Amino acid sequence: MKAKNRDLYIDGLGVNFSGFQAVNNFSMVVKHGEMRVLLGANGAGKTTLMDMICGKTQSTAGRIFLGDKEITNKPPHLIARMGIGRKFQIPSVFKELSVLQNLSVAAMQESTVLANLGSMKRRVDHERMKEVMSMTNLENKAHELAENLSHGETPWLELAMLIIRKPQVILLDEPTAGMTADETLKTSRIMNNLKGQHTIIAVEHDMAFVREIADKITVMHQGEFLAEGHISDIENNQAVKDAYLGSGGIH
Amino acid sequence: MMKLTYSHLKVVVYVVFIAIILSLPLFLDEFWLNRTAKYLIYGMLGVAISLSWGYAGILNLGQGLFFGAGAYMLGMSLKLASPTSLEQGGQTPIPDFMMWNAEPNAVVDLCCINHVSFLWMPFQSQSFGIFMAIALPVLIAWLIGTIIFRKGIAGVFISIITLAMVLLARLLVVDAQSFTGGFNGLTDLAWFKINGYEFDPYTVSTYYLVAISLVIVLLITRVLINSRAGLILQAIRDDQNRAKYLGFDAASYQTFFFCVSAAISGFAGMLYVITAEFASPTFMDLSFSIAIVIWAAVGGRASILGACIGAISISMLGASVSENELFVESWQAILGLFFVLVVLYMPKGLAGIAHGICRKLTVNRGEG
Ligand SMILES: Nc1ncnc2c1ncn2[C@@H]1O[C@H](COP(=O)(O)OP(=O)(O)OP(=O)(O)O)[C@@H](O)[C@H]1O
Ligand SMILES: [Mg+2]
Repeated sequence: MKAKNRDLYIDGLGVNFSGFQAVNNFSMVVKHGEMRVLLGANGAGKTTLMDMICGKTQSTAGRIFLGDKEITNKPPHLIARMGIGRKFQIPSVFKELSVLQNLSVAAMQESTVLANLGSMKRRVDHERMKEVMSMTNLENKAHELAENLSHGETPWLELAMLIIRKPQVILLDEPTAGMTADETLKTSRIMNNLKGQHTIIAVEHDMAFVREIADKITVMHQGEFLAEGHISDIENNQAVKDAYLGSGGIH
Repeated sequence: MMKLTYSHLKVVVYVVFIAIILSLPLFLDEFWLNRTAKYLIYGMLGVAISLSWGYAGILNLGQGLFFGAGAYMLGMSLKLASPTSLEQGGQTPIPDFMMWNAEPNAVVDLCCINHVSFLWMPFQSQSFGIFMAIALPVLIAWLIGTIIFRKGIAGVFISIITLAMVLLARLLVVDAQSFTGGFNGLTDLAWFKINGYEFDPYTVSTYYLVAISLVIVLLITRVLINSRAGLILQAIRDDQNRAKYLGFDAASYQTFFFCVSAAISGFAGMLYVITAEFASPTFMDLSFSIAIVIWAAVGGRASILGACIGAISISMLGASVSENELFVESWQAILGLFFVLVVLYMPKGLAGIAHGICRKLTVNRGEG
């Protein structure tokens, strides 16, 4: 595949936690604008893989490329600046700041202290803020403190903070965890809205949701690559069926 | 009629506060002006703690280290400029305590009266003393910051490390008697001088030197926390990791604002020496650093002005109360109890309550 067309390229990635091989010789190519879903049983290494991509965990083997720039084991804030946005399994937002302030922080163009000593005014793109807030169902919450948001709204705010930065690649770890059916539905709408504009990799257990959003699925098993393909291929894949037998299959 | 908004009210509160402190010379005599100047200096420490604790989430239990460093640095210059030091009969002025501790046949010169005295030589220039009063605290803060924040150490560990640092510094200062004046500190100091004008501590001009300094510190701090960097700092306080994965180098923000807080404290220490005419190792007593934290907690650590007013009023109350026989011993205990109550029942301090009232009074919610 041409380098031009791929946003993320992982080559033989591995990490060893003092003897325990959490991810082993894992490779994957994600095309520009693709919505990729990562599947795998508990402990398969999905979160660890995302941690390595965004610089939270140092890999011990292999390389990661964003476009044609290598990002392997760079400091997290630099990887973020280069164009990777990460949403965590446990939603994290700036609790004592308002929704608008959360988004303002996320939208900052400059990253260093000295470049940011100027005032907030003028630098804020209100149109873009409004657009992102309505995309994530937060249009009426602009002045609400993040700590007062509901269970479902908190991950939306985190998602909004990623979207507003327009990163090249967005990593979402279980975006619907703990959501009600209604919130899950709204989340899948947000995701489908983003389709094509961003390259997205999502870890997700809810198969109904996966069917709703996924272009292509990659399955991990015990830290290794197991299978890749469209949803029907994966559901009929014998290796996947075998791997999931112990944990009751994919639902 | 113009609608009164929350941010208008905030400006009004600042203006009233500044007007009060600037008009006090109309009502107070020189003795009280001198005392009040000291309380205003404590208010400046409240600002410093609010910035590091309230806005950066760094609970510094060793603020006295920066205050003490600032005080000693200018104190050294003022000590050398005092008549006693000038009249020791050497080529250079010599602090009296160095004479007392000198070997019988030592050369009476700063260069070599003892083997560390040469470090005092540049302090013959008062400007150097002023420079160091800011530079040394900032340097110490930068070193602590770079080591601690780079390692991602957070929360209670920072408090323990800063606490250990201030205790260590106190020990060193008391121990290095022939260099620092030891337990007695620096006394018998000259007056602070600018362009030949001498600041007698018991005059209106010294009061204004302090009061205007406080106003400037308040305003600069406000500008800083209202800047984009100030907002990012608060974001880092709330969730350091989230900020990191949005592309901000959390450690550099924490270090920067920790240094600003240290600079303010050093500046306060410097003004204290000018006003009180001594520098003492007691500035680095644990109880003093803890007291600063309590002032800010009661006033409201999340509010620059709240912490400032908290520091001024509680230290004022403490000073008058401990003149009463009954409270000499018990004041510390009362203060401690007060602190516990505040932490339990009003975590945002008095400023938190004031904010609540202001919000109810005003029609629309500002951003503040
Ligand atoms: N820092 C670490 N040190 C040691 N072992 C770790 C570390 N981080 C993860 N692991 C282990 O690596 C394995 C993969 O964990 P990971 O969290 O990536 O799984 P996951 O696929 O995200 O699972 P889940 O679906 O439960 O979120 C687990 O066995 C976990 O215990
Ligand atoms: Mg996981």
